[in-house]
Amino acid sequence: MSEELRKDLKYAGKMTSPGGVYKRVQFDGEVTIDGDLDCLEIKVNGRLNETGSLKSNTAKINGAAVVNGNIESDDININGELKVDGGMSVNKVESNGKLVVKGKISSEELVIKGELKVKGNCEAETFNLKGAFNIEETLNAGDIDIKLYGPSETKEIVGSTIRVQKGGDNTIMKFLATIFNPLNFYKANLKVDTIEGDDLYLEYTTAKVVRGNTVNIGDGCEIDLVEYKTDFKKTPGASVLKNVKV
Amino acid sequence: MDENLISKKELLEITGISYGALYRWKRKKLIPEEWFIKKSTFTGQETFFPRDKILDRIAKIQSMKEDLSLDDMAGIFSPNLAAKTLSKDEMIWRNIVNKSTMDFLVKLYSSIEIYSFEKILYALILDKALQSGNISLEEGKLLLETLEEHYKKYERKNCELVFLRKMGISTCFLISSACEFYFETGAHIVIKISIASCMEELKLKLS
Repeated sequence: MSEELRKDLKYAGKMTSPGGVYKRVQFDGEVTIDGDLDCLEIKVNGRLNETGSLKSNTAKINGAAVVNGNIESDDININGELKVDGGMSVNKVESNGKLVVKGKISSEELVIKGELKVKGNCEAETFNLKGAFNIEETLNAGDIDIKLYGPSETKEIVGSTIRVQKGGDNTIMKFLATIFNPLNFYKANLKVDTIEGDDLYLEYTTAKVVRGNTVNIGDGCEIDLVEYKTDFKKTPGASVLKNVKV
Repeated sequence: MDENLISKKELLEITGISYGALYRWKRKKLIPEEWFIKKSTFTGQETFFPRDKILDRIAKIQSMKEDLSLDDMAGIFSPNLAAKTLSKDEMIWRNIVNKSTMDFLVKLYSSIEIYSFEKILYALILDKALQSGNISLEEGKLLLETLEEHYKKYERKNCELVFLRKMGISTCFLISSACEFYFETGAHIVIKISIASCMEELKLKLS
């Protein structure tokens, strides 16, 4: 629909409303949308319960939102919690808090501070996470930069540059302590079956197989097999059962 | 082991591509998910590919990489209509552009043999503008440049191409459909083309 025909929608308080096509949408309070919502801009302050899908150019969620369908958006910014039953197809996601997706995520850029849970695959050109994650399938991203602040797990990590480190920033820890159990900071580690990429640097990672062009294994790693093409390094604090140049 | 399959290790060795490139192409849907076949072997789980298909696809990607972006390529490999491509001869044969417009395009895009859906659309718009007799070849070039640079930003939204001229000086721009615009009396609209209707026309011609 052309932009001129779209109208703004603003609700405050506790409301239930059908979906529709809008320009700017703002919800303050507790709003249930029964049906699909298509808008150019959405801002939620409070709680949103969307029974259908959400489509927007920009979305900002301050509080908590549950979307039963899919999310399609250019930019999405979450301060709080977002749960999506379907998949997410987005350009950029910035999440401070908790993001739970039952389908898959396909994006250009993911910037996550907090917790990320994905049932399907998670794809991005840039994946930047400070916190903890659980991706049941594959994490596939061009540039992966992970700072671990809690126990994390996935089946497979693939990409070009992959860096996994233990996080130690105090201000981030303080923020994360509001989301997860601070005791988990001591269990900040990553469990994964396979990691494959071009340039790899890993810390506190337990993996069966790590394959790469240059592989650098840092502290706290337990790796069964490393296969590398040009370069392999390992700190004394890491355990690598077998390494093979291929 | 099935002889029609190729292991990931062997594939990377033969083609000389990196893990990064392989997975980027998968993300960009240049290589379909179904081609990644996971099998357990004595060394654990390994990934295999249908040998002929993957080798052919990688050769194609490598040869097109110079001229096309990954997204353009994804369009070419995807099965829907917007992924339609045509060769130079088909462009004329399908009656999308006439011979003289095609000659002009060949001069401009000398390196392109196969036209992507977008390029075909631009060619059709150019052909319309030139055939109206209101714009010159030089102005046609301006029109193509404007489309190339800006049309993508409209993504799925309707827009119109407007060509203005004032005292012999011409300019061209894209504008959302159903948008009112006014300008000084000295200038006048040379041509106005709805891109959405061109798109529909093209889809019919291609189907």
